[in-house]
Amino acid sequence: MLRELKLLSEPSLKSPLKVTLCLTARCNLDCRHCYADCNRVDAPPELCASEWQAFIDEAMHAGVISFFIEGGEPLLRPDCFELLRLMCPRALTRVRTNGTLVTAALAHELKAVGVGGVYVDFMGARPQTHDALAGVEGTHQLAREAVAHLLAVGLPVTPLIVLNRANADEMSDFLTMARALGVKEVGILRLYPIGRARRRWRELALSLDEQMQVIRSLRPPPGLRYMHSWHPQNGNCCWQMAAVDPYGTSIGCAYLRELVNYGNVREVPFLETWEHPLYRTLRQGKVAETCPTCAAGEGTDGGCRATAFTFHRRWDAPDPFDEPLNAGVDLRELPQWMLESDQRATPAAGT
Amino acid sequence: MSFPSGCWSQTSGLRLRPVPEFKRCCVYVPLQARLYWLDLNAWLILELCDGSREDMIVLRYVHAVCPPMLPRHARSECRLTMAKLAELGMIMPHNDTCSGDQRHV
Repeated sequence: MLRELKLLSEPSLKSPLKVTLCLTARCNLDCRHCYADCNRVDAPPELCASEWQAFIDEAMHAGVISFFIEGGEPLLRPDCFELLRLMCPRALTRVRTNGTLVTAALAHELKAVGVGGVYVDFMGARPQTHDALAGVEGTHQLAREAVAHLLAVGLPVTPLIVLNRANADEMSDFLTMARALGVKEVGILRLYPIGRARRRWRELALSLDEQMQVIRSLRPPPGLRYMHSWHPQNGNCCWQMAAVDPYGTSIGCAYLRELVNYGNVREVPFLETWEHPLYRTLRQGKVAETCPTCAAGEGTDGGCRATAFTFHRRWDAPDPFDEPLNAGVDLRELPQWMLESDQRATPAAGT
Repeated sequence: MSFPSGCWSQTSGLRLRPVPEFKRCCVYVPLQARLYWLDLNAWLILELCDGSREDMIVLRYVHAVCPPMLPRHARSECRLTMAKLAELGMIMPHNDTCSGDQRHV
């Protein structure tokens, strides 16, 4: 179905189905690879509760039926539950958290408000690895306790981990740990060159061969599924993505946060940003090369647009994280232009 | 599950998000906090569950899809799909006064 639609000159979807809300850039951790450059203090002017409420209403009116809430640490926002109460009765609402604030009582609250699932970030299978990458002692234990609290109230929980040089030899242990905790699914994510990960790229990045060796070596315990986005599952999901950062910028996808600017929902309606020329182009899924295996599985071509653009500076370029499309790109080395301070295009220059 | 003299309605809070681009409908079931994708057939049957009696829902479905579908197959398909929708928490039977039976078939 998607492949047929992709042949059209119009984007597949006329209006968004799901949106990621990056609620805040505040966090109580200091992750070495933090994509959002989070810190402890209130960053200048994040959307306030009434602005998020207006956005949520607009998104619902446009047909959004699924919300993904992340941060920063979204549970740090005192109005987080106020917003969840607005979303959960009318749309599938899932939350991504570092788990440090998830007590038994808070897990009950999340269940009661109608959250549909929770994603808990781990930095490593071993406490020392996790705590060193997170920058705060004891947080591995808190993340484990969070998973237990959430499972105890019957919420679906998916632990996530970003594969990098510091934890590459712990992926198998991570699967074992997750299964022992009682979850049925985990996610192993690639490292994106955004925020602090971009600035620490040489310290954290693995070559594609190293990454694929890890992925291919994994043998999940019975009863555990693991999802990943490497070959042969490297989809181009731009056709369905929408996201807004803590300051109201429409960015299409959280991984595009430093690369695009479709306009600010404080200034223009969300659906106007949805029609930004670059956004429309990415939603059409036009690419120069594709990996047939990944396209067969995901129904979309070319792999992730964020990493394709990062390494080739072309929106229709092949994604070098995909083995058949890599063409000799060394993923341990970022292009010079990515090392400069601000990559984000202005709305006018975004095309 | 068959409830010929009873009435069928969508469950409380159900939210339908038609996606005509894909000839499908996305349905959010808040009591389960789950999303489901319905094909055109299931979508039509869900829409027909407007408080009408089961036999009226089946009749309307038969009028909508026959021909080319054979009436016997259509009746069976409708009842099977209604059972599945009920299992997924999208529709529920009730014995109150049926509300949708005045509509033309």
